Amino acid sequence: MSLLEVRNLRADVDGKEILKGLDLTINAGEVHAIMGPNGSGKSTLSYVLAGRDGYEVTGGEVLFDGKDLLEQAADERANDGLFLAFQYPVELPGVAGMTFLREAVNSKRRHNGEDEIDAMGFLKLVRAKAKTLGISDEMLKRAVNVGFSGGEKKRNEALQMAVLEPRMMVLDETDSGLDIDALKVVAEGVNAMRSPDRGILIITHYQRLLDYIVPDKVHVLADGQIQRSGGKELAVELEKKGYAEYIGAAA
Amino acid sequence: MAATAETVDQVQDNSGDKYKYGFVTDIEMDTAPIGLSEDIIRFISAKKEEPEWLLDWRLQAYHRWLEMEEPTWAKVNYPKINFQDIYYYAAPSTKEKPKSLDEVDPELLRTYEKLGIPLREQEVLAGVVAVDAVFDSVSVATTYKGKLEEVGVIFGSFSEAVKTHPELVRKYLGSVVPASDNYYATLNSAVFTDGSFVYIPKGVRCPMELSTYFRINAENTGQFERTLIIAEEGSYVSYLEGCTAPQRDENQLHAAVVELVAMKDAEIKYSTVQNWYPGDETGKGGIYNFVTKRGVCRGANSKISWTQVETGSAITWKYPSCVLQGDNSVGEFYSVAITNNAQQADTGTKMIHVGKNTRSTIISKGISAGKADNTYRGLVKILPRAEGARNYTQCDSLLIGDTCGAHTTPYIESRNPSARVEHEATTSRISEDQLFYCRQRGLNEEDAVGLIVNGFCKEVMKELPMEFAVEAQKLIGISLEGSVG
Amino acid sequence: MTDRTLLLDKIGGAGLPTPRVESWKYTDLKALARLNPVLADANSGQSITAVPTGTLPEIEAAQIVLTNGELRPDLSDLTALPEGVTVEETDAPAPPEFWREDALVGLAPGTAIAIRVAKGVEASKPLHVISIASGDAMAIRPSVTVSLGEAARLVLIESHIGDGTYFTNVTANVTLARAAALGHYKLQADGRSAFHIARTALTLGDNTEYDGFRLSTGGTLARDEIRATLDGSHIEARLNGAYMAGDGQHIDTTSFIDHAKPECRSHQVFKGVLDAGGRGVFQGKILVRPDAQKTDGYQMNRALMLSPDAEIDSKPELEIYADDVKCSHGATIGELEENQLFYLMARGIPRDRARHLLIEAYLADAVEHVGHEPTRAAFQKTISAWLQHHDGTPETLEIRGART
Repeated sequence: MSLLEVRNLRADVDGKEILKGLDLTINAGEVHAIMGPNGSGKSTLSYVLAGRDGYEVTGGEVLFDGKDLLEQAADERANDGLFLAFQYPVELPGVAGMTFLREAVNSKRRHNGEDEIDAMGFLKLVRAKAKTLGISDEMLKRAVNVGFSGGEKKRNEALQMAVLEPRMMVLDETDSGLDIDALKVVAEGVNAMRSPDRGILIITHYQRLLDYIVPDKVHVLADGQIQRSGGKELAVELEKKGYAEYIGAAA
Repeated sequence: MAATAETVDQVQDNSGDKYKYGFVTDIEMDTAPIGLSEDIIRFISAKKEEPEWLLDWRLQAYHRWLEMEEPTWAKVNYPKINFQDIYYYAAPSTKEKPKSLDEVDPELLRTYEKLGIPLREQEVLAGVVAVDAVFDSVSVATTYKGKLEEVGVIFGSFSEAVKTHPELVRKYLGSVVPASDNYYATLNSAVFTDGSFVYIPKGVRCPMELSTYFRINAENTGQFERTLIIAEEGSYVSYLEGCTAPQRDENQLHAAVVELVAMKDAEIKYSTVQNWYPGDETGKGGIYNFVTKRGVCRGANSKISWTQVETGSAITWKYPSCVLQGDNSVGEFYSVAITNNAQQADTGTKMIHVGKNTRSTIISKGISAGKADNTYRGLVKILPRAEGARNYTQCDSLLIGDTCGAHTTPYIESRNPSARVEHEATTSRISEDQLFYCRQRGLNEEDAVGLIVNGFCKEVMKELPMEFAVEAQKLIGISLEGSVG
Repeated sequence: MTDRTLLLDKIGGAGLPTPRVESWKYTDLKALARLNPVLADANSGQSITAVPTGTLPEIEAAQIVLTNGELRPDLSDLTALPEGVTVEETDAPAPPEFWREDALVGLAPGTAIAIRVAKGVEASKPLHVISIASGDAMAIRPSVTVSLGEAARLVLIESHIGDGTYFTNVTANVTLARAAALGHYKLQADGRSAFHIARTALTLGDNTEYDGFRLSTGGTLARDEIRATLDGSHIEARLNGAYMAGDGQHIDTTSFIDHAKPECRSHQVFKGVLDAGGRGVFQGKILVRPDAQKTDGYQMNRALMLSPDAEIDSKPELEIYADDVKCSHGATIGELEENQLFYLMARGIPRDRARHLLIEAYLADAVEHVGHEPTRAAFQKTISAWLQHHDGTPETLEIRGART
């Protein structure tokens, strides 16, 4: 059974149809990339999968581990193991990074009927993971994303990913706002999470990130539909030729 | 849109029945006849075996009060209070005052246990907090008295202090909040029943946190407590108070007066977690919390710090203030006020800069939800002699839903050119982005709101002593959602 | 208009507002009651035979001159108005609801100068309304109504000058129809013994733009009250100002911005300088009604205290009933930065001069907000002149022919 199964998905934003019958199948262990021009529906797809309000599904279905994903609230999807790395991580003034992570981990544990995590063990776990991502203790004490640079925000997303150990990761334009060094750190963080029982979906405009996280499959999204699918060589082709032909096709 | 709407629904859903302190203790009570008159005041004074001067003081206040008018400037609405429809004295009946905890009615001990306030010392964590428990009109128990006496700290009920240390009480009572100060303070001066008395001798750092737990139990009863804290030169004390009341359909009046005196180099830290019954979601019932709290930094380099977390009461009318008399003295006010459903709060502070180089900081966080109104009202006054005075004020309001109100009314008056005063205020709401981000990380809506609101209040919460901070944090969640914890 | 009854009799039983009234908490009218002025004679202003120069901002504009509250066609450019602009004397409008309770409104005049700009007209040059007063123990009532038709544009300068112990009770009613834009700049430079109490009511419609600035330096007691009703969406209202009070002066600025509809922006920055014996009062309130979602409201009052006998009372208020808004206010009070003074002195600039420079820079920053360049330059000059004189004897204004 595939991990994520998107069938003929249609969705509106503010009454305008953005996704127009999208199909996508991701099996455990696979890394997929969705590439597309601006306004093709990339971010809409990530928000629809994560269950953001204001994104109205008008048709089709999404199965996550065989379960109807669209029926569930955003937090239930997260606790079932769907993780969205945000393009623009949100600031939470006054909420310390550690506190936030602990809340998230405990929500998941409660969801799974497990006891809350013990404070000392948790601190050790987070510190170890933070270290590999170049996140200092000081940064963990600061309020989530408040005053963080672009690179710090994305590393923080990678840390949350590492701590929460999701089954399915959706990375929305993770490379935006990153210099090459930060990009490498984040990519290493993602690569470290590749495993046979985990799926990864990378949403990106540029091929750059795919040099560091090499996908198994690449899809071109334009006008709310997957226009073409192929191997990693498709990304290279897109980088050379641009999206012109797909934009043309859509119009 | 929908995310916020859902939050609002959840917040609104959560009616008064989530108030977990709403139970009533069934106990035999001694009460004065209903209503207010000179005779009632004489009755209270006689019950407490007070000296003549104190009775005179009360009667003077009473006559003064009769001529005063109820203030109307606060942004709160409530039907006229019938002061003749209130019991001014209610006490658990005992033939004699208990000599030790073993003699305290077990029903009372159970009440405090239920509230999470163990009065048996062995049940308290290694003696970090000494507790005075006030039940309706009287103090029922004080813990760790012995240990405190060893260092000369006097901590106990006000009534007892009148008997054991009349000279101190007489010297300081009304010295910060005069009997004629304002309508409710004057009423309190006439009818106050009990409260806490704290005296920290010169140079003593109080070895533990002192705490009073106020409980209104009896029906139609007003609670008029009086607290007096004196910190002599170079001393330090941290004092905490907590308050709860049963859930009743009638409004009950709580009109307290708190006076603090800090001498040279002394420091008083006063923390409050106010969780009186707020009334139900329609605004039925709840406590009218009309309180006058004021501290005077009498000596140089003294410091008074007020921290309050106000989540309860139908109406809160409260302005803990500092008169910064001594040169270089410091006043602080840290406040979180949460109003939900039909609650109304008009709260803030006054910082009166009298001495040179006096400094004050005001951090106020107001959270309004449901149909509630939440007002910050404050005064910063720099008198001509207050050379080099400094004030920094920050008032932030958070609105949850579009049927509530958040208001800021600061008065800033300066008569010294070298003074520097800064005031900032903002208004915001919990953004959909923030909610979605938290939920994407697995937090349910209630937890997400609690977390974000706690983050919003962080600068205030970190001022609370550890023992209180955890409780207060949970309380914030409960007041807004009703299911955390 | 020839009613010479004493002011206080005219007001009747209610009397003048006292500091017990919250909105008059910091401004006491006892001195005005003591002066007890009588209403000026209908023709008392005729003795003024020319518009004095010096104090008035020099701006090329069509002038409309009032002397002791009455229109003076002979001193005005009524025949040379920009096209599409009309000026006439009309019955004064009824005071707006929110000022009905104010006893001073009872003193409103019988007539007002009505300025109208027709729909779609962009006035080719500014209008300058000049109110000149001269006389003692008298009360005058200059009144202007301004209405701009749809998409009309106008720059209006309002100046108040005079000499004597007079009381000028000013009313201005401004109405902007959809998409209209008004630059409204007021100079209050009334005589140093005068009482200036002004009420400006703004009613702003959809998509309008109001750029306002008030510079107050005159009077022994001045109160400038502005009430803006943002009665439409997508309004941009800027209400800025500066005030300078020296010895024996009390200058009160009171504003009330009423956000009634969604998606409007209001912006207020006021800066004050208080010298020895001067007192400044700033009361500002932003009200955001439940419908006014997406309001962006900002308000700031900064006061500079130059002397130990100066005083500032500030009361910035927010009253908010809508949740999706961005509202903030601030207030600061302080003196000149000692390290800035030192820096200038270390470069050889004498202390007095250094102070002067810093104060000028502080106020210049406020005047920067004036959207109309010629007015900005003129106000800048007014400030420089005030600084030249503020510690010496107050400037006396000579009004030709006034005292005969």
